[in-house]
Order: sequence, then structure tokens, then C-alpha cells
Amino acid sequence: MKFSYQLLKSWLNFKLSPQELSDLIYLHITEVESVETHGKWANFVVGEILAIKPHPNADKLSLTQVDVGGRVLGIVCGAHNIAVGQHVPVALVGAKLPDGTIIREAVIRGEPSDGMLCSSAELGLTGDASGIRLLDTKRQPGTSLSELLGDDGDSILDLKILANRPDYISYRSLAREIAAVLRQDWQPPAIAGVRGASATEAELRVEVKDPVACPRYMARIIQNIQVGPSPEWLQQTLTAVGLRPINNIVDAANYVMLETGQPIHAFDLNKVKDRSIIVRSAKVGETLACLDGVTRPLDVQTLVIADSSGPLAIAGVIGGETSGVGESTTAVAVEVANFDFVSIRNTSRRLGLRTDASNRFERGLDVFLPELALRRVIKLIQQLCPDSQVGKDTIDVHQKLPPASRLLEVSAEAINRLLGIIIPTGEMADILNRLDLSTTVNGDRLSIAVPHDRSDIDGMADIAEEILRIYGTDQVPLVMPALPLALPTQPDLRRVLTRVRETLARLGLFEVYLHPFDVGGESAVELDNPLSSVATHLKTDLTEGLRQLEAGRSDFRIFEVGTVFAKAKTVFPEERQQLVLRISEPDAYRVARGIADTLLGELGLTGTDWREVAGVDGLRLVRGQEMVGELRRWGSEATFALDLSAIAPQVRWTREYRPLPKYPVVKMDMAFFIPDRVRIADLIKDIWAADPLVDAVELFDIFRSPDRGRSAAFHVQLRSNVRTLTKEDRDKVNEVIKNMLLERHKARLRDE
Amino acid sequence: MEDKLKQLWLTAQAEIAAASPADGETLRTKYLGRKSELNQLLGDIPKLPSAERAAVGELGNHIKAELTRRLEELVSRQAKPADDLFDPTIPGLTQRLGRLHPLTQTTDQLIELFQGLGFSVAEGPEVETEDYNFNLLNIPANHPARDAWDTFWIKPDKGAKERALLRTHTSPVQIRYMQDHRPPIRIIAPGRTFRYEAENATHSAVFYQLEGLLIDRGITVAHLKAVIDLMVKGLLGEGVKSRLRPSFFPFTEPSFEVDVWFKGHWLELMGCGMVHPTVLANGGIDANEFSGFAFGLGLDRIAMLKYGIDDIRLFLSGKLDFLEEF
Repeated sequence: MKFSYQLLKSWLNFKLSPQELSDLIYLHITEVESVETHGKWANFVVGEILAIKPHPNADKLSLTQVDVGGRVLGIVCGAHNIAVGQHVPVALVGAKLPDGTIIREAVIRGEPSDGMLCSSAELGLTGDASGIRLLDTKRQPGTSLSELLGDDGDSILDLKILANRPDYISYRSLAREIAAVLRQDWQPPAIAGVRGASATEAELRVEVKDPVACPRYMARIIQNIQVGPSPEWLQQTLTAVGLRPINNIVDAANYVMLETGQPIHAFDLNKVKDRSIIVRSAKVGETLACLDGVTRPLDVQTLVIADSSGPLAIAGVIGGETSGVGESTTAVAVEVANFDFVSIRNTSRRLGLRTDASNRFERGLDVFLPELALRRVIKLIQQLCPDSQVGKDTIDVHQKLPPASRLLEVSAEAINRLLGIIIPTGEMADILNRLDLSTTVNGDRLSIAVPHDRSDIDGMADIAEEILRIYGTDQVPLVMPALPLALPTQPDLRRVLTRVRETLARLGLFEVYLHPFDVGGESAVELDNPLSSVATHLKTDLTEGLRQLEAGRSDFRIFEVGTVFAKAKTVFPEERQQLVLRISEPDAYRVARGIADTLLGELGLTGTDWREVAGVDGLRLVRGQEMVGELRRWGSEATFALDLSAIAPQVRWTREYRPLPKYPVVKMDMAFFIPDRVRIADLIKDIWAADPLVDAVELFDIFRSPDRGRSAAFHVQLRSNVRTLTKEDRDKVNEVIKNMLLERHKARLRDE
Repeated sequence: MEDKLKQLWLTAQAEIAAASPADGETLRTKYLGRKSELNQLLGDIPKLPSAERAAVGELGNHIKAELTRRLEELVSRQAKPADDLFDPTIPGLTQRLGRLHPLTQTTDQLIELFQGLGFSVAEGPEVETEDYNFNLLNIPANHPARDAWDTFWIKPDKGAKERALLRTHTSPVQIRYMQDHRPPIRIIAPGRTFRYEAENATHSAVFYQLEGLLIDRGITVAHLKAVIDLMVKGLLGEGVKSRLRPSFFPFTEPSFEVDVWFKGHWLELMGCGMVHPTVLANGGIDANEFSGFAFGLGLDRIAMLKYGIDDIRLFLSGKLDFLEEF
């Protein structure tokens, strides 16, 4: 929401520069999204030179570090009169010099430069062109040059409106907050009563059919008005924040909206049939030609302001074209109403139309605000149209109104205890009073009359926040909490995930994160509002997503660890942690298997078994009857998926030392020709089982010869824990293995 | 005897070092042959007094083994033909180092940091109910505050009583943890979160957060400030300043944004505040007895800040060129 610096300054008469005001608001009130300066010196500020060093590529240039208020810029400069600590004019990126040059980010002789330090001549001022103009060092870095050199421009502050503070959307509230921070007494613009003498007897009837959607409807008639352009000050205030001046009546309504936050609408009284207004839901088939020139179809969920012939306006969103105030208008009905924020928000969304009015209503406005705004707008119209006659009666249709304020009692000590700081009780009361939270002190008790528009204030913590932000969060010291020492814990599953990730990274794999959505399958959890038609469900398995990833190269190892989801009987789907790795390199399948086995070993898993399944290019990893993983070949690539949730309870966290072997190993190599249907895994298993002396078996060569079929060669290692093995031992085991493989698998020793 | 052995060692090793491979056999006979001085000395060892015998024997055997090794080395130089084609400047064979995703690294760094302060790690489901994600966190339906969280909703089953959603923040873990534990509570909760919004360089529908919660008797804003400041310094460097400024979150009161002075700018880093009394009550904790603070930071944002990444979408892109940089 945009606010004019000049308007706030004219109300509060402060000495702050736009930058200083912005800092004040930022640190005490709400976030400042931007400060935009209009006028001659837009984007020219005071900068303080923090450092100067020679340009590496140019003798006559130097590199400067300049504090421009809140940030430090690197700027290349060619002048010789500069020194650290000087305050100088800085043209920021976007600034326009009097000669028309626009300053852009530049690279000067290989060094970046984010702006320009200016001489008097460059600023279009009389004076020296040979050096940078030096400024008064009392001026804060970041101060706009307009404050030094004079300028009739304005700065526009764009503020974030916090969800709990719809009142921030008005100059009145913002000014009140600023005044509180400055501890400055301040009165909002006068809203003194209507001149009775020019009252008119004219009447308007109002009927509210839906008091939930429209808790309050106030209106007043003004006759004998002269519609014309607004005075310059009014037009300027509107245009400064992006509103288009229309005519004096509409502008007055918009101005009071800016001032109070309350949207106001004026109807041409002569276009309101029977001088009778009905607030009701739209009927099927009704349409409205709106002020923006668009005719919109209405539906029964839309609240409209109507007369007996049909809708005049979409309540709280936009007015109708025919009932709008134009040059021929001589009398108006000024509407100042309160609408339910949910209703306005829904209407605005359905229509795809956000207006200055809907934007305010949908935050939830106070039901007492119309009283103030109506008096203010009448007063302003009277000023603009001195001959106008105001209706004798104020129309005010509402249900029973809540109390205008409620009493809250809090302990000052409790506030200090929450904040960790000692703020004197009197100071607390002073801050609250300045915020119109009328407070009396009785010992430790603060009795606070909370006005109805501060529905965000509910208890002690809310009051503490009000006090602290005005007092200043920087006043709170830093104190370390003293909690009893305790061993930090982590969920076991998370520790497993960490171990898996680290092991795989050590094995040369890259970790990727991917989106968790796909097009779904049988047990997949479906989104009600997907972002795209290819991201409609939560993944039940990460394999496909990882397999489809375009890696942009042919040789890689990647993995993903993440949650997979499956529908369950409860509102919570089943969430499991899955690992999938994908290998793309020569002999990918064996690499993937090797990585899988290494990982399982590292996790200390026992009791798992690889099982071959007919029709699948790969193996399943089973534990008991449960499948916990799958290794697959996909052409020249391979994947391995592992259900980490399933194996997590079996992960071994401790290691136990085994005494190192005392006796040397005996090694032998054995190569066999084997029939095609024999599985290598069976051979290895049998070699292991052939003799208790077998200590390790490793396949080191496998190939197919054209005439004699498959050949597989193994390193076999023998070891005893009780003695040194002899040649005789080796020959004996060799013989046993040879005979066993021949008998069981028809595998022949290659050398025979 | 010992001196003689030492003298022999000095002479022999100098001569071997200076010799060419062709001298190998001559030297072997000279120093290790049957009639060599060493052999004679070794043969005299049994005649020594028993007190000296062991030490001198060990020295003698050591010299014999060492001379044998050096002579073999000398001869083997001759055995191999000179490798004239060896080019020591040839590049190494590429070795691949695996890498953890930058968000994993950032998460791990923060976990380590907070574990050092005694914080435990807690987790919660990614599919949550409206209650845990909103209502219990003091964000009622239809409240304008809810607009800040655009939500992915799960398609409800027929007759479902509760609406499920993809959690929009890690804050539900606060409630879950409070319901199961008594103060003092000191946890962080890292995890994946979701927002229903179009993706661009600064917004991702899927992103990562880290939640923090500390509850005990007498916890104040001063404690919050101290812990946040410590975290900022641990994460971004000792010299990095932090400050709090007012903000609004429904689940904390007072609420703050944390700014850090980083690389010449004040940057918004994260939100935090004192746990709202209603939220404490919803977690089953007596707000009159206990108070606490909570904070939540975007891990993507931290990683972007730390590494200078300019597009949040890179994190989930699976681009290996990107991942190789970390």
C-alpha cells in the first residue's frame, strides 16, 4: 500500500528524510517494500566514502566503497579530491542527470560500478567541474539530495499491510503510529460537525436484506453540488499513490478512503429509482455495467446495492456506470458501509477483480469506521462545494452494535517478564495512550480500553508487542537461556537417512532433489488443486521420476532420498522414506549391485537376501517375506530402490572389534566354463560352502568364448584361525570345489 | 663390536648409494658374502657376554636386512629398461567425488549448529490436517491471515470428516511435539513444505524449512534475540549482525522478522516470535507457567544467500552441472 511522504510530513511536521522515515516505519511499524522518489533528485542520495583503493587497470581511476544508507556500493570514480569519510552526492542506478544521462550498472575497465559520485557540474549546479562536490558530513548516508538542494518532489513509501492490522491501510493509523514512535503529540485532521444551516429535507430509504454480509450501511444525501475538477492539492495526493483524479466528489470519497481506510461510494441521487436503496444478493441473470466499462454477469453469491429497477453497484467492489457521479450530477447519496470480508473476498476472487475498495474490505474493516469516514467526507465535500446542502438525517442501518471498546487488564511485570527488559510502567502507559489504547495505571495493573477496531489485541502478549515495537526491539538485551544440559536426540529414521546419504556420496553418487508429484497410480494420494496436469498425485515411488531425469550426460551416478505416499484408511496417508539410485556408466548393473551391497554392509543389515524374480530384469531384496528393495537393469543403466522405513529398525549402530587374523591367507584362482543357465550367485554360494577354510570368493573375470561358452574366474582365499595352511590344504580344497561345481553345475575347470 | 657394526653400516650404505647397478654383484659379495666382514661379525655374536648379545644381535640382523634390501633395489634398477616414454606431466585420471545436495548440506550445518546448543531434531508428516497446519496454530478458517498460505489440498475421500493438505510450513511439528513432551523443550524441525503458487526464480511450490522451538519457565524476547544472533553468527560468520523488527504471525506474539547485515545489505532472513499463549494451550502447555519462542527459516533462502544462488528452481532441477558446484 502506497503512502505519500509529503502528506505524512504535512500532518506530523517531522524533520525526518524519506529514508529516515522509511527506517522508522521498518523498525517500529511494518515492512517498507520500497521508497520511490519522484522529482528532480529521485535516486540521488548522500553517500559516505568508506574506502578508496586504486583501480587495478587504470591509473586515473579509483575504486570506492560508499555507504548510501542501509547498503554499501562499489563505485568507480575519476576525481582526485575524494577521501575516506567524506559525504558526497551519489547518483544511484536509475538516476537521471540534468544532461539526460541515465545511470546504469556498469563495468569500467573491468571493475563493476553501481552508480556515480557527482561533481557540481554533473548535478547541473554552478561550480567546479574538476572534483566531486563535498557535502555536510552531518547528513546521514541515504538522505535524498532533495533535502539539501531543495525539490518539490515527493517520496512514495510502499508498505506491507500486516494481516492483523487492516487499519494500517490508512494515513490516520500510520500517522498515529509514527507520532507514537516520535513521542510527538498529534491530532488527526478535523472532522467537526456538518453545518446545519444548509440541511435539506430530501429523503433516502435504505433496506438491508442480508445483515450478515452488510453489518452496517450508512448514507447521507448531499444536494446542490457542482461537479468539477478537484483542487490541485487533492489531485496531487491521489496521483502520488496511483489513484486517478475523476471529479471533486469521487476524489473526495477516494481521499477520505486513503485517510481513514474506509471505502466510500457516491451514487448520483437522481439515478437511484424511487430514492430507495436495497442491499441484497444478486438474482440469476442480472448483470451490471461497471465503472471500468466492463459488463459483468452476477450470481446469487454476489452482494449488490440495488434500487427497485436493478443493481447499481457490486457491494464493496465496484460501482455501476449509470449511477456514477458525472458532470451532470447535482445531488448524490454518499454510501459508507461495512461489508463482511469473506463475502467481499469471495466476490472479488470470483470476478477476478481487485479494486481499492475490495482490497480494503477483504481485510476486515471495523464496523465503527463508517461513522468517522462519513463525517469526514461530508465535511470535505462541503469544503469543495460550498453551496451544497447536506441531508438532515444520517441513514444508519445496522444490527445491534458491539461495545465501542472493551477493558483489558494486564500486569506490567508480566509484560517485562515476557520481554526480558524493564520498561517503566509509566512509559508503557504513555506508549499505549499514544496508540489510542487508552490506559490507566494502578500499581502494577494497566487498565486498557481497547477500541473495537483493534480486534487483534486479545491479551497480555498483544499489549507487550505494542509496547515493544514502539519502544524499540533494539532496546532488548541479548541473554542466553539457561536450560539444563541434555543430550540432543534425533529420530532414528533421520539418522538412517543421513548415513545412507553420506555413504552414497562417499561412493561417488550425486544427491538430487526432485518434485514429489506425478500423474499417480492406484494407491496414490490425489491433489484437489494440482498446479499442472502432470503433477496431480504424490509419488508412491521415486524410481520413475529419477529414471526420467534428463541428466544431460551419459556417465553419472545419482540418488534421491525422499518421502513416498500411499493412501491409507485414515486422513493421513502412509508416508515412507525411500532411496533410489541410478547408475549410468559401463557395466552399470554390476556397479549398482556393488553400491547396493556396500551400502547394506555399511548399514550393518543382516538377514536380507537377493532373490531373482521371473520376468524382471534384476533382483529383489527381501527380508523374510517382505520385499525391501529392488535392483533393476534398464538397457545400459541400472537403478536400485530401497525402502528405508522398512530397514531402519535393523540398522546396526555399533561396531564390534574382531581380532585380526593370526595366520596368513592362501590364495588361488579358479576358472570354469559354465553352462548358460547356471547362476553366478549359485556358484559363489557353493564355493563358499565347499570347505570351512574358504574365507573369501570374488568373481574377477567373466566372458563368453565363441566355441566353449561362458567362462567365469574366481579368486578364492583360504584361511585358518588355528594354523598356517599348506600346499596340501590348498590342493585339497581346490579339488573339492572342482568336483562340487562339476557335479552340481556341470562347470568344468578351464585349464583341463 | 657394536661400533664395528655401525662403522660397517655407514661405509656400506654410502658405497651402495654411490654405486651403479653393474656393481651390484661385487658389492653383494663384499658385504653379504660368506666371507664378508658382516658375516664374520655376526658369527662372533654368540661369544659376547649374554647381557650384550640380544641388542647387538638385533642390530646386526637389522643391518643385514637393510643392506640386502638396498642391494636388491640397486640391481633391480638395472633389470628394468629405462622408461624414456614416461611423461610425468600427463593429467591424472578423473576421479569422481559424490556430493550431497546443497539443501542437505545447509540442513546438516544447521542441525549441527543447534545440536551443539542442545536442540533435538523432531519431525512430522508432510501430509497434515487442517487442524495441525492451521487451526491449532491460531490460524482460523476464513481469517485473512490464512491468505498468506496458499495451500495444496488433498482430494478428500467421500464422507471424510477432516480435510488433509500438504503442510504449508513446518510449524505443525511444534504442536505435535508439545503434545508429546513437557518443558523444557528445545527442538528444531527441518522438513519439506509446500505452497500452491506458480513457480519463478524466487518462488517454488516445494521448498524446505527449519522450525525451532524453545519452551521453559521464564523464556523472554531477550533469550530469543540471543539465540537468533548466535545462530546467525554460526551460519553466516562471526561478524554478521542481526536485528529484530516487528511483524505478524498468528502463532507468535510478539512476532518479528530477523534481518541480517550481509554483504553490505540488510537482508530479511527469517520470522520468529514468542509462542502465542493460544498455541501453547493447544499444545497442552500452561501459558501461565511456561513461555517460549519459535522461529522458522527457509532453507532454500539460506542456501541461496550462502552460495549466491539466483534461481530457487535450480534446487529441484536435478541439473548435475549445478549440483557439482557444491
